[in-house]
Amino acid sequence: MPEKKLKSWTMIAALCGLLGGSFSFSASEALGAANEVLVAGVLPLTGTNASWGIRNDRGIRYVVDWVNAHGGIKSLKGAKFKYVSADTETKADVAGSQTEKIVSENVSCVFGCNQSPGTLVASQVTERKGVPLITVSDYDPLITQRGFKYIFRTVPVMDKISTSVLVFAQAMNKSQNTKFTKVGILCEDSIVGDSAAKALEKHTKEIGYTVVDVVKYNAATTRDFTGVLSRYKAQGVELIVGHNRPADSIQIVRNLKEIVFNSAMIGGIGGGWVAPEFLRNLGPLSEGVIIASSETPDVKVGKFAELKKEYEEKYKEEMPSTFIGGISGAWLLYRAIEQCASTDPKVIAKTLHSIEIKYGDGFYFQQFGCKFDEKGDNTLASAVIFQVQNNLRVSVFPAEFANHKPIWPKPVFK
Amino acid sequence: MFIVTLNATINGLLYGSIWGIIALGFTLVFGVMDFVNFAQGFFVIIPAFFSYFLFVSWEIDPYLSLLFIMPLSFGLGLLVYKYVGVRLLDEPHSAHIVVTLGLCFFIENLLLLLAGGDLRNAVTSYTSDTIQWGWMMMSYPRFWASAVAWICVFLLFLFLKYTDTGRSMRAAADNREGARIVGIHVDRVYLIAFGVSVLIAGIAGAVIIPFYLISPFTGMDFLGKAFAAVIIGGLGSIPGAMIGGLMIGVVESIAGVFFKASLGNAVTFFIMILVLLFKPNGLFGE
Amino acid sequence: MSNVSRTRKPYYYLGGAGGILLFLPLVMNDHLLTVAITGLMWAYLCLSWNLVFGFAGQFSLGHALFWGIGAYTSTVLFVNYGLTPWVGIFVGGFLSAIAAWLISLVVLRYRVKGVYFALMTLAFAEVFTGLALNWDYIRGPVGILLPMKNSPGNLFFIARAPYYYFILGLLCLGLGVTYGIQKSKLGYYLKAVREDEEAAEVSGVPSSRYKILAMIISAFLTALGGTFYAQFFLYISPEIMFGFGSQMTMMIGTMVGGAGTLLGPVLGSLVFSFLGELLRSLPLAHSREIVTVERMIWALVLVVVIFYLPGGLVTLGDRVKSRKGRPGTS
Repeated sequence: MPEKKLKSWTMIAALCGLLGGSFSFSASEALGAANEVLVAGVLPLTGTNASWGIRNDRGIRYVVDWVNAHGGIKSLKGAKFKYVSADTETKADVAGSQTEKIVSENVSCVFGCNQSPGTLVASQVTERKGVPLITVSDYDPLITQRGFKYIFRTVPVMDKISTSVLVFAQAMNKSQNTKFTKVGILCEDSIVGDSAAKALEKHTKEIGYTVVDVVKYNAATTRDFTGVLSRYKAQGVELIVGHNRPADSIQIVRNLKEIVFNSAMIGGIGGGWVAPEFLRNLGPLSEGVIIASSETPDVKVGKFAELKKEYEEKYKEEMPSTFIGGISGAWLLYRAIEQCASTDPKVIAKTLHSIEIKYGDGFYFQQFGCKFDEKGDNTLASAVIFQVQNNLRVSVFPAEFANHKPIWPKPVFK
Repeated sequence: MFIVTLNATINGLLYGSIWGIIALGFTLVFGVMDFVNFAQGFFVIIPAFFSYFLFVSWEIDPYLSLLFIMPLSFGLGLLVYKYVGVRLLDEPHSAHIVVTLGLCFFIENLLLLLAGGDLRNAVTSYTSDTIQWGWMMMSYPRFWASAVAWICVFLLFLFLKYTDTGRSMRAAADNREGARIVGIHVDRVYLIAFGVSVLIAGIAGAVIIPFYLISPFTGMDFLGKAFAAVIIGGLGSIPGAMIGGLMIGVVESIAGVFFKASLGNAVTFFIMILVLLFKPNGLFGE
Repeated sequence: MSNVSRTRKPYYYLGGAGGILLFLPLVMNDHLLTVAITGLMWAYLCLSWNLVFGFAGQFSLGHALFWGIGAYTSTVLFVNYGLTPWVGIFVGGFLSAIAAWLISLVVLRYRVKGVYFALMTLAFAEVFTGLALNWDYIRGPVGILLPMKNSPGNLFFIARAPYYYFILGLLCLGLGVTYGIQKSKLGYYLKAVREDEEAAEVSGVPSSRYKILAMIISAFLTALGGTFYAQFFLYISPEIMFGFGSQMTMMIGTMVGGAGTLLGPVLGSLVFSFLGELLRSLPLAHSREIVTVERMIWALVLVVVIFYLPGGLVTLGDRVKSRKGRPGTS
């Protein structure tokens, strides 16, 4: 007995030593050198949100490399960015501890986390330490409702995006003289899905349309939507709207085809509907699907078209919204640092609050530019509607920014 | 609405057949050698990924790929038994669970490394086809997947009832020592049973890839379904596994029609609890 | 004489280690403290689970349920009624204990054992998760965000050190309870039940009653850990609190370290925590591929340890000794 205890405690003591050693290791690795600006991405590189995190990471790296290759940050005498990514493993508590670590290494700004719970926890760390955290993809309203001064969100809040599909339907009904007003809402039960469902229900009633039903399903365990969609069909739903993850958005469209339910509109809000897997797995079935997002894939502004071509050649996939989010966020930071000529996170945060970025400036491609309010929300952030036509996503609404005419109602499944 | 419910029930039965067959592999191993294989779900998705790979690289239809998948799965089963299973037979269930979970973790990350985290399925020409017969509407690939599943069940039944190995398996399941005394090579029987269980999982994997989206993380989902089916039907019972699977499929499908929010899994597990309380050995357990 | 010093030595080491642990916050920066706090939290949770698994021999796969009840109780009471978590934590523990008692009554009455018990507890946890997700009073899937402010009266601190001492305190409580049980009549009976339940019953040990007691105590302690999680991470949701992730960590730490022992769970859990952090600190840790490969190695290590050291890491010392020329010992 006593020997066992002895061995165990010796081990524990040895581990403490190991721990201490490993940290001095990590600390020295990431510290920015004198002529460097250290920025970090705390993102899910593994785990269920890995596909978002990886593309976001690519985006930030792209701008970082571009800036470094084009003379660095001029106002800091050509200082270069040093970018470090930390994996959250799609776990909120790991997001917290990775942020804690990166913040202790004198980082100037953090990007994160492609997972609302992760961003919620990580932003607590950054707020405590006074380091700006920029999120380019998390729609949860809670993120900016805590009176924090160091949180910045470039994408619109969920309410804005979700209502845009209804605004689109309304406009179409008017211009094409149709009367499709029966709405069926189908969202996953995550934070974002829940807020989307609430916003959709509220707005449907506001514009005088009918809410046939609101269904929130558990994304982790639901694999098939035939039941609920058959019911919607029987109840005469004409406009199907929802926020869903990739597997579900694909399955919803497939199930709709299987039960021969040709609704007037299938309206997807962000999430899986903008993922590359969507088009890849659905092919021609996706024709006519309406998607709301804050990045349009075919915009004609600035360097967008060449960037798109470059991305598609390099990665052999459609340029996804999380990549666009990443480059926009990184470009925003670059402009902010150029303006304030400082690596001090507190000064950068102040600058972020006052700066205004035009849509299309450099690599900023999230609609329609950037200007933060005191809560950290982007007042210029808007949703745009695009539609899948001929297996490509094209912008169709609002008319001023659209490059194509919308097809209304959705063509029947072949 | 009635028709909607009927069609939902049918759809549920189709899915349920698949859950049943996955549960079948799990229950076979448990019944014959008292081994809890938490990695069963992964034995389904590894061949599913392989089938997907064959499809996108050489356009081999998943059903055709069965020709490769069946022997490969069986072989995989033999290997896993020889190096992992056999060492755990005398350990308590908790050891089985932890080791097979470790295996799950390993496979999940291996798949993540090789294939990335994105969802995939084999988008064949018939992936979204529907069979329509009057009011009845069935998904074409799901129908065929179920059909294959039931053929498997039937063949397994014949195997267990009429072949020597099959009968030895049943004997060993009932009484290990007794079987040994009578001259049955228990270890060999176990080996084959395990191989068969992974083989069945492999078949399931190949036939679901035309309509089911999988990623490295889907393995655990299948495990959950298998459990529920096996608990309801009875651990160790083959008809039980299928009935359990069908029940789960139908309950989930009907729940989608009638409930506003998916209590989904909760309903299934609730039924599980009821069964465990009133018929702890499952509806068909011994 | 040598006998006395043999029994005294471990206490000196204990004191030494304890002293080190007490002074760590003075030398560690916030990040290290967070890692230490997280590590200690999981060690504490493993200890709690150990009471049911290692001592009572019941494989509970639904322990996340108790963790979640603890977190949600204190959090909802605070957010909705302003009740300080210092009190809420005990309410949570109490509710959790009741839940454990009810579940045990139901489960043990039917003599559900082994893998059946495991799946049954898992089923209970899943049902609860499903209910929680649809219960608006606790905000459902959206989860609850706790305020970030310095309010010691409500168990909120801006500094990390107070949290460190709190969890250290909980850990000592866990160790104390485990030690107490080990040396008591309860522990003795549980051991008998664990070794051979039928024989124990025949000898007159009311096995059900003691198993239920172990479950209740374990649930209470686990719930305290849940409240701590809420107070430290400031965000809870059904997915986090009732999901299988926490269960995995509790299981693996305990089984690798050595179930049924006093220090096994702590050791196993700390090894995994530290290894994890060490791996994250390596220069190449920022690459997705490397992280995935690390995880694979980790899984293999787990499997190997369970194979070759079924008693857990605590038995490593014995194994090493028995190799060195003591042929008789197993």
